[in-house]
Amino acid sequence: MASRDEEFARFFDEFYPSLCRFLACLLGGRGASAASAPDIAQDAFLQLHRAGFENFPEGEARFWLFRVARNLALNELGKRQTRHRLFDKVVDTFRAHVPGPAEEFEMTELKARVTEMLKTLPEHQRAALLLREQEEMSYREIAGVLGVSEAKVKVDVFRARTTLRERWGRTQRAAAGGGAS
Amino acid sequence: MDCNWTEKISLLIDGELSAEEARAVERHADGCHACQLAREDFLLMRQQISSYHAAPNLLAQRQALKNILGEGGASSKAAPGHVGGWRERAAGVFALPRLSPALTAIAALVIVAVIVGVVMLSRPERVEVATNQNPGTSANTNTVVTPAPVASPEEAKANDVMNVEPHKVEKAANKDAAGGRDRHGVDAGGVRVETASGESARHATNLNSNKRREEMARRARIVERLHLPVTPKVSIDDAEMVESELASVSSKLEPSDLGTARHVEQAQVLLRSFRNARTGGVPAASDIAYEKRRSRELLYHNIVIRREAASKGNVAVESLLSSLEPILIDIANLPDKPAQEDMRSITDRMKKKNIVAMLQVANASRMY
Repeated sequence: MASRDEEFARFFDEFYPSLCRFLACLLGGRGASAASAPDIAQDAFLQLHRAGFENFPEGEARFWLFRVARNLALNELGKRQTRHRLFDKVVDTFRAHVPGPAEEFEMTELKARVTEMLKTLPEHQRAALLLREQEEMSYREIAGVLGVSEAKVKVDVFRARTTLRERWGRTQRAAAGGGAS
Repeated sequence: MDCNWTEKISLLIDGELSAEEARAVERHADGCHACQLAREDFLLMRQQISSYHAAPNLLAQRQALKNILGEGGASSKAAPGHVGGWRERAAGVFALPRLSPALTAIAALVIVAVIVGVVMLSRPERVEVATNQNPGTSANTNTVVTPAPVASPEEAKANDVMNVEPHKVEKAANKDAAGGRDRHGVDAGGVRVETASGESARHATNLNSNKRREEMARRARIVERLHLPVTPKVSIDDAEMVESELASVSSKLEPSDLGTARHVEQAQVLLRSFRNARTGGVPAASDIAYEKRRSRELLYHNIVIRREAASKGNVAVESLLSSLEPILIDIANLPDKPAQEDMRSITDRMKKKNIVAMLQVANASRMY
């Protein structure tokens, strides 16, 4: 029993931060939605533990974990969209512009721009791109997590990149070009 | 300007192309400025996205693992290190409760019931005026009202009962199936006159309140002067309610002389019936019950028609009905099993006034 828990603890320590990051970006990067990322991550790990972590084939537990976490995040997004969509917009509008230390780190200009750009993407495109860029999953693995075909993953990732590039890439390139010159 | 190979560039940086395809795309990109820009942008975005740091709380992470391994985490979702900000707390205040279907159905039923109740209560109320035969149950007397003036002290002395027993005025939210249609009803408890309150209120406002009070005071003085055993006690408020009911009764009567003629004829029939019952010896309770009930019914009509005649200046009709009214009151106030003396006293008064003949003459001469 102890070895089983130790194995699970190692797995937990390895993927808990990345799962929190994935969920935070999926839920919107910051704010009340992203703040629930640790809770959702804990729920996902709890379900993995209950499902019998030791019974999963090598490497499959990670994909199973991200799939469950993404489904939980979708539920959370649905609830928040119906309950707090207007409220969050109002709060964001009147949000205080005096960030705390932790928030100050998060609020660096570039990162804020990335997360804001990610929020504009459709969820399936955002999830596919995050799993690709952050988790470095292959299209096959992404398709397994999201429950879609590899062809769809290929299209979603490309469309996500194109959209982000249209909205943000050119300004970044212009800024980089200005700095170089 | 994008190149058609841009999607291949995306696949190239993801390592999703075969070696041969990758080499072909590389060769194309070397000579295609658009593809070179696309690859730079895609890689720059990858750097920014992958460098996103969620700043995990190690304490929260430890606590989460502890919760999961202890299986107590099922009930403790929030890690201690994670304290919701004011936005979360404020958002929780506005969070709608998720009702179960059963609870939602019950809530809907309660709401519907409340709405129906409010609608039903807001409908026009019916007012019921009942005259009961309960001697000695008067209470809260503010002004003594005797419904009938006394013609003479001799007549008053000849009668033990000279008044209508307690007038009980009660409101009842009677939901008539006829819906707003007025009707007269007579039951064992007394004469019942029902009407829509809105209509009665309209007629009540048409009455001269000063005149009404003067008449009540006049009757009170007469009763006081005669030292009658006055038991009917009707307060001012109740009297006003009765007045409004009487007004509603008047509205239901024909405004023409035909109504007066019919009333006189009915009174004549009643008095004849009463007199005939008297001649048959000691009447049984059932024999006099109809006359009592009918008398109460005609009493209200008599008061209304008499006042109408007075307002029109028809002294003859007013005088006739004024003479009839005490007789009707006496009959209405008889007990279920009246003594022979009581019956005789009434018939003696009828004979003395010659009221039946006067009614007959009035009908024949069309004095109204």
